[in-house]
Amino acid sequence: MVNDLLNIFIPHIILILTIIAQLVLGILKPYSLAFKYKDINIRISNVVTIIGIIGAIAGTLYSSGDYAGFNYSMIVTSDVKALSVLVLICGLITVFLNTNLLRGNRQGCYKYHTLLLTALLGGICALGANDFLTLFISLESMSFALYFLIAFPKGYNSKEAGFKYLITNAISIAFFLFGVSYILGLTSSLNFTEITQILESERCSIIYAIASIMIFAGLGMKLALFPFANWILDVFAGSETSILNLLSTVPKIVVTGVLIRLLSGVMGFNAEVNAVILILGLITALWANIYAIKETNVKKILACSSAANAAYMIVILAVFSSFAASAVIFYLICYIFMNMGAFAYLNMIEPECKQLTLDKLSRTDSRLSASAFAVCCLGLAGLPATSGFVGKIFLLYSLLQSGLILLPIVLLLLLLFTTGLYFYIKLARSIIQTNQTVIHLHYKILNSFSRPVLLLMALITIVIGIFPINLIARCLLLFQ
Amino acid sequence: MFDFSNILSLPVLVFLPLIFGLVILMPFFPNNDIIVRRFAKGCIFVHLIYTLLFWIFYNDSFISLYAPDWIKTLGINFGFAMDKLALVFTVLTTIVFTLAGIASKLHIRHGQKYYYALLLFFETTILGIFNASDIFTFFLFWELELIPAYFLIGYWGEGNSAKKSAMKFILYTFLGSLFMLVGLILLHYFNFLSAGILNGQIGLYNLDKVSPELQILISILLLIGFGVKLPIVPIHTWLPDAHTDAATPVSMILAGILLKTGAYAIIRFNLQTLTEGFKYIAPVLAVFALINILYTALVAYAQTDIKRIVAYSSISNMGLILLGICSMNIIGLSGAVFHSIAHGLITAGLFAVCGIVLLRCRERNINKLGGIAAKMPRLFGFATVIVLASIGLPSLAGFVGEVISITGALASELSDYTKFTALLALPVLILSSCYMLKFLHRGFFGEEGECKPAADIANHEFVILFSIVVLLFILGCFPASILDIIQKISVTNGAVVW
Repeated sequence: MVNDLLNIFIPHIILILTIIAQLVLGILKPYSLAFKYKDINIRISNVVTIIGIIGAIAGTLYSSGDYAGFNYSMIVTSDVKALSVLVLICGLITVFLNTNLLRGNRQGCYKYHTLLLTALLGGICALGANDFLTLFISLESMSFALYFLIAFPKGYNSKEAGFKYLITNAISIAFFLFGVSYILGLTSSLNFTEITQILESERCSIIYAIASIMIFAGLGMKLALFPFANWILDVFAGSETSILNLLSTVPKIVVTGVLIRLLSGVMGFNAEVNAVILILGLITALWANIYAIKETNVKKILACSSAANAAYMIVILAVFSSFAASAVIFYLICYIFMNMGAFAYLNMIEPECKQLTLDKLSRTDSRLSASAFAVCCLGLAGLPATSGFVGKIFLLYSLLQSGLILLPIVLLLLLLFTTGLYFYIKLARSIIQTNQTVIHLHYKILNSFSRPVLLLMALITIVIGIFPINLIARCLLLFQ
Repeated sequence: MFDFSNILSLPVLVFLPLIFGLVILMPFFPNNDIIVRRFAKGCIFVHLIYTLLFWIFYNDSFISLYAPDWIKTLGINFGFAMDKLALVFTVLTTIVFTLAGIASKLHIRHGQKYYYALLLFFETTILGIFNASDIFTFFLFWELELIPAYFLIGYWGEGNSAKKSAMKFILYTFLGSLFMLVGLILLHYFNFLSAGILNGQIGLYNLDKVSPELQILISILLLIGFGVKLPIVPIHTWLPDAHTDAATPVSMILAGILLKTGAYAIIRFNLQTLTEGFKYIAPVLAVFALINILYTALVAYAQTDIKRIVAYSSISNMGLILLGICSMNIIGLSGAVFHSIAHGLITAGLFAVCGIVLLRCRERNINKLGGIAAKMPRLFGFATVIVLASIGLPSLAGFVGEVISITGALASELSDYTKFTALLALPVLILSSCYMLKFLHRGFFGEEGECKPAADIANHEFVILFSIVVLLFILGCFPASILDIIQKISVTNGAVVW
């Protein structure tokens, strides 16, 4: 029994221990003033977090087999493990990108790491949740950590962004709880397994459909889906890039994982719910792509890209099949690596280049970095020899497998992909133009980890694009 | 005697230019413009010789030579194969690239290292399209070609709006190719449903059990993708801009080869694979071909920019090729393939002439040109031969292609509409004379215009034009070598024996 629980909770326990370590180190902070090296606190906290996250990844991979614990409110299956590792990797990359942020707020480095680890902990708990209560608590601990992380940098913009995220999230979570209360009323249970068993034997009522849509609306806010889409522009514009790296990946992975679980069980009993989800996804993709055409602020363009990509995945998830779920996971993996590459580049140039707008965006004296950024952008656009290309083929394949009835939706998606191509190409072009002022990168930036991260992400994008076979096979195995 | 067929490998054929391009980009490669240019031209020439070995030592074993798994779970391979049709287009590609490489000398002034690397990469992608044996390999190269084409048009373009034209080109083509992707996936999936195996190999599709309605749907989706490249009239508007704004060598490649990928793909997919559905579409498509031929010929006559005249004449000629394909018989198809090759050379030559005029006179407006013939007699001689080939003078290549394409359509057994369409297309022989002779007359004769060319063509330009003229004569006098590659075509089951 204890052994089983340990198997499930090794990563969680490691993360909690790391959080405690950060808090204790934060208390000991005044003693570090004895050292002349002023970045010592940043270094120590970074190293502790990196060790903690790598330990958690190792712990996740170490446990084998499926487990359930806490009276079936937490489960561990292969897809949960895969997505948890993905969440932890995103956290790890964010730590490597945080130099600019922490140099601006040296006193807060331990707080920052505590919040970051809490967000990751909430994320992986939500992925394993098999119970609405666990899901709610985990999601909220993730979101709360994210409000404070967004508001962490000094200045007015970040506070405004954090507050906007808080307000929108509060409204959406009300929808979520409203839906859950209806489900609780219908089935008098909060456990996914029990609810599924009860609903299988009953005819689905209209109340059930309303409840499912409410739950979806609440979750969809974190992906910036249609009714709650506008926050993403202001929040992205006001946040620091390393936080955006976290904000555009972790909630996306978590919500996609949770939706796959819900749609294969609790929310999967009414085809009309799927239709509503499909329409919401399409509207979001349309809105995001059209908004991005005229936009010149790079962060807002990436916000639109984030919303649009999430919407593509939601459209595929609405046509639920195990193949579609695999396709979504594959696309998700491709997307987060390309996305993190783009943010790593912005993180590199942000301190030197005051305004991140398309016409003012300067290129660096490192041609390799600019090319790597261009690779990430072209990957997001879905041009070949990048992972985005294979991901898009996979998405369309899974849609067309469901029959010709979805052909109009596929054709609409094609238009959206083309619109996407327009602004991604503009983004890539603005970096490699030759008639610009060139930023000579500060040695501190060159010494930071942004550049290796960017190059690594571009490399992953190309490698997955050329040799996708292993990853695809693993994704297909997750849902068999 | 040394057996050459041992060293002939399709992956090497396709990827050799890419490897050369990467060598140019390497940090150790000298940054000297002259060395870069000579090395790149040497590479393209070596590759041309390697391709000619394929022509000489061609045998049937090239079909399905190399096919490792790429995405095994979906039955997608990364395969190359070469039949005679692919061979013909491959040889055309390497010839035009060699000419374009030579022509780059005076046109490309900045960023030579990147230019030549992209040019070689472009060659790889186009060879990949012609030699792919799997539909997704085909699609991969089809999309991949956008990247070098975008940068070549946008960054080394001659016009002020080169970047805008490049964006227009990439958006049109990308949207078209996404429609094509949907068509390919449907083709792949319904082949799986009817044959029971997931296999992407182009030659092995078995669509007997797929209903004609579905085949028509797939055919239309594919045609949107191919039609952007070909181009077919309502979706042709990217072409004049891109061809006008691109640098001369890039225009030569775009008009000479890139458009032919569309014709090749229609033959491969719509005609060979989806024969049942194409029988219904072909008469309708023939009407589109007619509009292509006549409308763009009239538009070409109204143009004043010499590059635009050539660009519109390209569309008109591609209409003839499409008409030949739509006839669905051996004569029309032979004519279409032949005219693809002939027109590839002619249009490359015409763009080369435009480029030379542009370099000497800095003027593209035909009304301000004039009297060049007296100043540049050698250019005038070559230009006359190429223009006459374009009009269709017997014993030059253009004549054979035009006449056989139209004859094929007249002999079509599909429906009487196709025959009628072919009759209506006949005036193009006059219209093409009108706009091409206007090009020659206004540009080369008459009073001396504002420009005063300083010198006649240089040696490297002589090489380009001379080789094109020689090839046009050879093809015009001995057309059988290409016309004979189609030995048998059966409309009932789509079997085309190359």
